[in-house]
Amino acid sequence: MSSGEQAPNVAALIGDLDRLAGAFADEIGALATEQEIRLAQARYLGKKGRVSELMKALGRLPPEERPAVGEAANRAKASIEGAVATRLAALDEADLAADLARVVDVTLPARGAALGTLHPLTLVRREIEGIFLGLGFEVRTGPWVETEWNNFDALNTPPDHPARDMQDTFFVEGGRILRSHTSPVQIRTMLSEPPPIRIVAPGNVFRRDDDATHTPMFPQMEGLLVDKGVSFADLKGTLLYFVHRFFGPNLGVRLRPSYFPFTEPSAEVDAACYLCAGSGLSAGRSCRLCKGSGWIEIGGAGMVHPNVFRAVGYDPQAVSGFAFGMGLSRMAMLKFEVDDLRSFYEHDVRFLAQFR
Amino acid sequence: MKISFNWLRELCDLKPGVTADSVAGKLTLAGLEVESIERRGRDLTGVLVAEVRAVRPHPSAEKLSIVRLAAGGAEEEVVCGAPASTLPPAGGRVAWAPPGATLPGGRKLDQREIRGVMSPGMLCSEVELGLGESGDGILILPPETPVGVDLARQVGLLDEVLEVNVTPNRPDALSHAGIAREVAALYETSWRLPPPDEVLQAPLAQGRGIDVEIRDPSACPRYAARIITGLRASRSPLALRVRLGACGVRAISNLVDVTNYVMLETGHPLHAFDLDRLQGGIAVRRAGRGERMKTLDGIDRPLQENDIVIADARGAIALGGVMGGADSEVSASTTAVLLEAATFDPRAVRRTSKRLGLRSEASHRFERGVDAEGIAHASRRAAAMLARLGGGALAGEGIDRYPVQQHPRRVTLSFGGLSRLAGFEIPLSQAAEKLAAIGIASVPDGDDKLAATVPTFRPDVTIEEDLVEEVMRLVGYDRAPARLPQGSGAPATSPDAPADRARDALAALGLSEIISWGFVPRAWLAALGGELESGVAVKNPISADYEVMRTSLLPGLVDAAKRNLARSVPDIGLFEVGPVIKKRAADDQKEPPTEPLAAAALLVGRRPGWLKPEAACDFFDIKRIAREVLRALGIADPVFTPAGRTPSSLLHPGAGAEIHAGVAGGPLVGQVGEVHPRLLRKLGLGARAFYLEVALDAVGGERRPVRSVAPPRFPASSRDLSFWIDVEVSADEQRALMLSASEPILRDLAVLEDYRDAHTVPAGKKGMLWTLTYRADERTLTDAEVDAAHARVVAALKSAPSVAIRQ
Ligand SMILES: [Zn+2]
Repeated sequence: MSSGEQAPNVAALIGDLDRLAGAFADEIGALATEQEIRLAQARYLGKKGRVSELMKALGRLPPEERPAVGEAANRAKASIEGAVATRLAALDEADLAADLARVVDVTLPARGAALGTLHPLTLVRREIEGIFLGLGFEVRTGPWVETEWNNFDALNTPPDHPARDMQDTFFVEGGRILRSHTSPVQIRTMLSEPPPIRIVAPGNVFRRDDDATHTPMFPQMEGLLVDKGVSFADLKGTLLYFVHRFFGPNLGVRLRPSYFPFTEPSAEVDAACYLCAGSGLSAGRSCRLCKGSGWIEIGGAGMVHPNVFRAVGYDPQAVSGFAFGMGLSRMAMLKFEVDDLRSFYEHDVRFLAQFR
Repeated sequence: MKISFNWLRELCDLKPGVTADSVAGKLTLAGLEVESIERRGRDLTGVLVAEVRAVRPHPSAEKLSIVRLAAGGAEEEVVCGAPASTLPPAGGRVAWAPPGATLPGGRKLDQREIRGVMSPGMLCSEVELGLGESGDGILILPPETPVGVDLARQVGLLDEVLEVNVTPNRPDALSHAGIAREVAALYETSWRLPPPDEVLQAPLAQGRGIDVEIRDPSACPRYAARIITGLRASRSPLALRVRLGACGVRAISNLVDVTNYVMLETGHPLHAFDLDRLQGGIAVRRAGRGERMKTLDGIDRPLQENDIVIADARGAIALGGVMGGADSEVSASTTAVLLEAATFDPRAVRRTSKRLGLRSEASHRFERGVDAEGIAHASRRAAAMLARLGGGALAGEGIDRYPVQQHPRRVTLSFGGLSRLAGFEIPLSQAAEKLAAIGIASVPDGDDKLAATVPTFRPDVTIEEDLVEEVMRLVGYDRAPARLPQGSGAPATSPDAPADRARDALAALGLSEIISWGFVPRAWLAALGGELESGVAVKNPISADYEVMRTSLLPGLVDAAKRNLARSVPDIGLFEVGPVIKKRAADDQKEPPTEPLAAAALLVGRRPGWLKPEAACDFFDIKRIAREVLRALGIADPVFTPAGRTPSSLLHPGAGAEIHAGVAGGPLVGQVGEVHPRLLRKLGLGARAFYLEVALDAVGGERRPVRSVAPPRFPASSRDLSFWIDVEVSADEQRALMLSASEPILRDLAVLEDYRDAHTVPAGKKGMLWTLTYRADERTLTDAEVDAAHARVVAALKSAPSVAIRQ
C-alpha cells in the first residue's frame, strides 16, 4: 500500500456499497436471460467487478474501521446474489409456465412398431413344455424325415400290421417316411441314453389327411417317462397335474381303455370340460365344447409295451414306463377358442395379431 | 362297426331298463368307443299291421281299389293305389298308415276323399316306409305277422344303432356276438350265439361232391365248404333286410344276404359260390406268376405271387379273403351254392387288398384275424340259414380242412405284475372273475399267479401286460389312483432354445409368426433355383401343393404375404422358425437328409407408424431385424458383406448381404436383403419384399454369459467429420480407413448421413457425415488432445485418394 494516498471516507464507501445493490436490482430487472443476468452479476461481484473496485480502498482504512466496511460489502454481495436468485427463479417460472402451456393430442396413435406375435401353436407348445419342465421332463426333438423302423417297427408295429392304417403315412424318396407321430423321438432317446428317461418331444408330424378337421401336417407333443417301478397310477397323476395346470384346477381326468401298438395297457385321455366344469351343461343347455358329454378328448397314453423296451435294448423286467401324446392344434383350439383348425395355417395377420 | 341294439338284445340278456345310451357308455369306458348312436325308425309312427278283410275295385277308377281291413279295432275301408289283383286276399297282412301316422320325410296322414270315396290314411309301399329305393306295390307282410301291432317295432325298424370304433387289436369285437360277449361281461349277465336252424338234410347227389385241397397252409389254416342245393334266389324276409340296413349293408338276395348276416352276427366272413359254375375240385394256394382273375366288380386284375387264390380246375375263382370272382358269382338263377368259411393269412390279405384298393367288410376282418375255431359254427349256421330262406337242403356233411390247428394260448398273470403295472392292488380272484366273463378261463398257479387260457378269438392277448389291460379295463381304469412319479429328472435346456430365442426376438421386433407346411409345390423350389431347387420328394403326396419338402422358408413366407395382400392387408411383417430339409448329394442317399433349423423374416409394405405414412420399408429395416435377432442369439458384431459378390438366387444383387459371425470370413450365419425381383415375379408377389434368414444351427445356440464392464468414468468428446468419397467405398471401408490411424482414444465411429443428392454431390461421389467419439479411461481429455487425435484420424482417412474433406 502506498503511504501517499489519502484514507478514504468510510461513510461514503459504505454508502456506495449499499447503493450498488439497488443499482444491480434495477439493472437486472430488464434482463431476460440467465446469461445476461450472470454477466451482470460478474460486473458487480467478479474479480474486477464493482464491489471489488470499491473494496480496493479497504486496505487504506484504519484497521478499526474495516469491519464496518466489510459488513457493508457482504450486505451488498448478499443482496446482489439474492436478486440474481430471485430473478432467475422468476425467469424459470415463466419458462415453466410457457412449457406447461403446451398441449399434446394424446389420442393420436403411438409411434413405431407394435409388438409382434408368436403363433398360437408356439404359445401352447411352450406352455405345455413349461408344465412338464416343472416336473423334471427335458425337451427333445427329432427329424421330420424318419425311418420306418423308428416310426413303426421299434414301436411294436411291424409291416403289414393293421395298426399302420391308424396313421396314413407319407413316403419320401430314399426309402424313408415323414414321421406320422412324435413317438420316434422316444426310440431315438432310449437308443442313445440309459434309463431313467423323462422327456417331452414336441414337433410336427405328417399324415395323409386333408379335410376340415385334419391337416396333413400337425403338431404333437409326446411324453415318455421310464424308470424303475413306474405304474399306471403315475401316468394318471402326471396327466392330472397337466390338466390342472393347463385347463384349470379341480378338473378331472378320465382314462378310457384303447389301443396303441406301443403301449399296454393303452388309454384315451379325456379331461373334464373346463367350460361346463364337467357337467355337460352350460347356461342350462348342452355344452357346446364337449357336446354335453362333460369330457374333452386330449390325447392318448399308456404303459410302454415290453416290445418297445426290447427294441431299444432296455430290460422290460428292470424298468417300466409310460408314454402319452397329444395334438397341440387341439390344445390351441381349446385354449384360444379357435373354431377352425385351418386358421392356424392361413397366415392371416388379422387372426395372428390376436395372440399378443 | 355298426351294432343294432335290437340284435344285441337278442344275443344278450339285458334287463328291460337298460338303454342303448347306457350300453354305449359302458362299452366306451371298456375300450370299445361308441362314437355315435343312430336312432332309426323315429320318423315312422303310428303305422299298423292290418289284416285284409276284403278287396274290391274302386267304383270310379279302375287302377284303384278299396281294401276293407282291420287292425285290432273296427273295420275300415281304405283306398289303395294298386289294382285289386296285386293285393293279398282276405287274411293277408299289410301296412296301414291311419290318419295321424307319420312317414319318413315328415308326411302326416289324414282322412281324405279319393275319387269320391273317403279314405282313412293309406296302405304303404316299402319305399313310402323308407325301407328301400325300389319296390313296386304295397308291402305285404308274412301271414303270421300279428295284427294291430306297431309296424316299426314289429319289423325292427325302431332300433338304435351304435357306431363302435373297434381298434385294430380287437377282431373279436367285429360282430354282434363279440359285442354281446363284452356287454354281458360289463352287465354281469349271460349271452349266447344263436344255434344253427334245424333244416332239411339231403344226401349229396352223384357227381356234386367237391374236394378241397389247401396247398399252402400258411396262406389258409382252415377251409370249410358246404353244399346247399335246391335253392331259389329271392328277396330276404323284411326283418332280415331291415337288420342289414341298420348295419349299413345293402340287401341283395337271400343267398348273398345270409353270408352278410352271419358275418355281422359271428364275425366270420363267408362266401357263396354258384356250385354249377365250378369245375372240378377247389384248391387254396398262392397265385402263380402272371395269373389273372376277374373280380366280382368285373375288373380283370393281374395277381401277384403272394396273393391267396381259391381256384377250381379252370383257375382262380376268388381272391382269398378279399373278393370273389365274377365267374363263380351267385345270381338270380343260382340253385346250388358252395359256401366257403375259411381263415386266411392276415398279412397276405392286407397286402392284396391294399394293393388292389379292394377294402371290404371281409378283408377288414381277415386282416385283423378271423378265429379259425369259430369256423365250424359259422359255416353250419350260414348253411342252415341259406337252406331255410332259400327253400333248399344241406347236401352231405361238408368238408372241413384244418391243417394248422389253432390252440388257446397259456399266459400267466402274477399278482406282482398286475399291481406293479396298475399301481394299485386287484385281488387275483377278482381278476379271474373278470377274465372269465370275457371267455378267458384261468386257474390259480401257486399263491400269487393265475394260469390263464386265452381263447383263439383273442389273438391280441399274448403276454402278461395284455392280461393286465383286460383286467384293468373290466375293473375300470377309474379305479387307478393318481400320483406324481417319484424322483425327478435333471433340469436341462431345451434343444429348441435358439429357435425360441429367435422367435422371441422376432416377435419383439413387431413381426408375426406363421407356421407353413413342411412340403411345398415343386414350382416354388424351381423358382428358387440352384441348390434349393432339389428337395426331398414326397412319393405319395395328397396333392401337387405338398409334393416336395421345403428347402427354404422364403417361398412359404412370400406365399403368406401374398395371401395377406389379397386380403387387403398391405403392410406385412412375418416370420417363421423351423427346419428346412436338405437332400444329400446323389452319392450319399443312404444317409438321411439334413434338417437344419432356420429362422426367417419377411417385410413387405410400409414401416409401421403414422408420422410418415408413406415411408416404404427398405434394406435397413430388415437389417435392424437381423442385428437384433443375431444379438439375441449371441452374435454381437455380425459382419455384412455384399451378396452381390457371391450372387445369391434369393436376393437383389445390389441390395443383399451375407451375414458372417464375428469377422468377415467368419462362419456364414445367414443372409439378408431385398428379395430378388425376378424371384418375386416367379412366386407371384407384386410388391418389394425384404428377407432375412438365419441358420440357427450355424449360430450354435449356447447363450454366452454376459461379462459386464463398468461404464466410463470420464467424459467423452466428439467431433463430426464430413467428406465426399467415391460411392463404391463402403461404410465399413471408411471405418477401416479411420481406424487405421490406431488412435487409442478413438472409441466410437457412427455414420450420421449418407447422401447422394445429384444437385449437391459431385458425380461418382457420396457425401458422408460421421461422428467420432474420443475418450480416455483414466482422465478427462483436453480439447488439444482430442483435436490432435482427430487430425491424425482425418489424415488417415485422406490417405484414400478419393476423399475430399468438407468443412
Ligand atoms: Zn362342456
